[in-house]
Amino acid sequence: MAAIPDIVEFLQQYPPFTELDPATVEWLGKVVEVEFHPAGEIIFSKGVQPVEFLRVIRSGAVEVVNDGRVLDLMGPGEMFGHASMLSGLPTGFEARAAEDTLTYRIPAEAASQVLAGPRGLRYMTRLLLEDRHHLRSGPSPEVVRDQLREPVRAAIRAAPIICEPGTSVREAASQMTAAGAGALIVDLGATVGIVTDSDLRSRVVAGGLSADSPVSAVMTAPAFTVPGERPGSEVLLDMLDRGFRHFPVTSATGRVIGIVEDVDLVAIESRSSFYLRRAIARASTADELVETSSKLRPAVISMTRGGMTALDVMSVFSVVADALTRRALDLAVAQAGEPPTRFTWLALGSQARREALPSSDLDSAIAWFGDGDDDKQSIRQYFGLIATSATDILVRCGFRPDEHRASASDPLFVRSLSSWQQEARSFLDDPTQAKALVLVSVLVDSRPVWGVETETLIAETFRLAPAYPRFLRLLAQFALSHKPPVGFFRGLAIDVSGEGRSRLDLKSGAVAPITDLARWAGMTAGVTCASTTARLSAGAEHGTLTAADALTLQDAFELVCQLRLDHQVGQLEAGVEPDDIIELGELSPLIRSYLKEAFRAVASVQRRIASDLAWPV
Amino acid sequence: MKRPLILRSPTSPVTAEYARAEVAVGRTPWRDARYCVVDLELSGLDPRSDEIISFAAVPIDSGRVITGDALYGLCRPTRQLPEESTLVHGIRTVDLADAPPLDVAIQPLIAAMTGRVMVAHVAWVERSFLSRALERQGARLREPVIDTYELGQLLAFERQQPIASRALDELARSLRLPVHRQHHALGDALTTAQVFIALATHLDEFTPETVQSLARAKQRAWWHWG
Repeated sequence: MAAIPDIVEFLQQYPPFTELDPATVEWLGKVVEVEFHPAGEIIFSKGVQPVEFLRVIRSGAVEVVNDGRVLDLMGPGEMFGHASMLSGLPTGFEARAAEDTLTYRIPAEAASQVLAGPRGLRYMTRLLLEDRHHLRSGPSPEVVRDQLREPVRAAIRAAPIICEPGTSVREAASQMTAAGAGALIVDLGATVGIVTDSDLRSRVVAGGLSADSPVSAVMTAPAFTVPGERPGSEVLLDMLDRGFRHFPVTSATGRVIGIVEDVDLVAIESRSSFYLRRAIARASTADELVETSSKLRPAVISMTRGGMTALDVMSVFSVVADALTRRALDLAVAQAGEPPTRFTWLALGSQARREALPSSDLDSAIAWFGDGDDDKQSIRQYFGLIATSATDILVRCGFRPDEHRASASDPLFVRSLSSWQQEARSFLDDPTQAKALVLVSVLVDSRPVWGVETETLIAETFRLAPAYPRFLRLLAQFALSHKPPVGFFRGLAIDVSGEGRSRLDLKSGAVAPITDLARWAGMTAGVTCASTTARLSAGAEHGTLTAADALTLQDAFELVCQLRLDHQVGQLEAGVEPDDIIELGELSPLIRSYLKEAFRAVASVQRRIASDLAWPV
Repeated sequence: MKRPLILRSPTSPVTAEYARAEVAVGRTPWRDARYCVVDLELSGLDPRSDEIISFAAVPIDSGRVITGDALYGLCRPTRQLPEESTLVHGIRTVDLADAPPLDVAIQPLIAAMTGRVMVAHVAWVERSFLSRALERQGARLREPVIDTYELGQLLAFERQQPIASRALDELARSLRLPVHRQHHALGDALTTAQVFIALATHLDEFTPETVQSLARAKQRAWWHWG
């Protein structure tokens, strides 16, 4: 007997059945039994032995309840019971009909054959987070993405050309040409030097140096090398940061095994960010800088459409934002004249974490060097001027001014370094001061982008955090207070209080709960300013988070960032100013279900942490 | 066609088994009984002159619709279908040219109904057409028969709500249940099956329901009137 077509067609609209071939769904359709649960009926209770059925809601609604709290409200097309069914563990929650509900019950035996297969089981978590074609249309970006995630040594195309320091430039050039290489290595014994195409052009051809000169006269030494095990994406960032296009790659023993070029690592599209950075560094007036910055948004579109992941696009975007900030500061200082004392411009927030996107505000602060000058009018005046003119330029470059939050144009954020450090230490001692925890979050996410960069700065003060358990406890509580929506229902995002909204702010509703947790987890491990991903890894290494929870949060973070980026790129293409507000009704059911899975994962990690720390949430 | 007063003995082993099989007794709690939800598409509504052209049966066990065992079939009519009936169900005379005649086509339906309590929406239609079809095979329609339309009326009385419409789709929607392909025997049978388990569950909240009490829904509704 065949399955009833209406049932098969219904299932095919929802994941994971969308992933299965039609014959498999048809086969599942044959084992479907329809159940009716009147409102209030408990479909299964918490802690029962493995449920033997997977259930898909056909109509009505089902609440997921744990210890009397509604964790989620599920609607048509959503599935429950699968976790217990697949894991064989008792149910972790109670499922209760919130309305009169019809469910399709599928026996575990049949369901697990399909869902435990490579296409089914992991749909809930990693597989689809990584499988990005679903999130965007356009060509599949496999190649670029894989290269960036692999160790950089995989990008090496040929053995390096190595020569002695005494080799003539002529000889070196002919070897490079013969091998079609863009650079060669000069063996200096303990270190290596590097000679690139552009060195030959600028120093020999344009610089008037003789072709008979030794390569040691044109090389860069010691060259910055990278270990072959580092992921390509990190090496790419280093290249962007340092402005180099070639890196010698070393083996575990320190031997140079090849040279990677930027073109080996990035798609054609993102190479534009190198040229962009070069153009930014050359801009000699504010107008030129503004003109150059207009290429940043098109670069974001092409990087995204070219298949770079959201995390990589955010890194590149942040590096370019840094470059623009530096140049804006150069121009502001040139205009205002010599500073009365050395100072540092700090990027705050997402830019500091290298997680900025076109919608991000560029929050900033100034720290100057010098004691007891905080009240000196002339100093305040000078830095006020710098802050105003740099911020003006950045706003003209398309960054959002933010009157409500941290910015160097607010006098509160312009202070001497010692005053900043003093304040940071006082937060460690007494985290109950007014706004202490908010300010800590601002100050930990700070990174110098202009001026003095090497000395101990503000964020570093918090390296001492592990010695302040009371501080960390309050910070954890603060981090757990931002809760993601518990779910979506009939086009509304339901928050913990049960209220529904048709719009969702991805930044405050989805990203912030994860970045807050990561900041805390990082600080327990003594990590200060770092990316959310790095903080989570550090938290796991330190034992604050389980490895599984860290991975879950990293996946969820990557997913919500991808949604933000896709949303903003869509807006940029439509000529609309980018923001983080999405209309839930416009999301496809598939994307809605991914997002919901991410929220559920974050909420469950939050609950676990809260219960580890023995707080009621 | 003249109705026989005295039945011949059953004409096929399937029919014989249908006539003989044990069906849940009246006092069986409703969930413990086995049901067969039946829907027919017809050439018209007069059992004396019109014919069954398609049928569907959906079994219910332990209060659950066993969709994988659903049955759907077509019957070749002896006369041209009236145009107005084609307008309702979309089936034309030519579509049925290759279908078996009623007596043959109906065998799987009789097998599906064997040992089960019949459920239908506005059941007098299914009752009268199937009685005739069964009598031609030497068997009587087994009782009781449960009518979801009457169950809907009874629930409306219990809840002191206005009387429900006769239309299956309206009843399903008022219960917030999906409406499947309308005027298609299989779609209507599935909708009816879902309506049945929902109504029986709700009525059971007022007083425990048995096969007998559900079958007497009409009398109970009248009693409410009285």
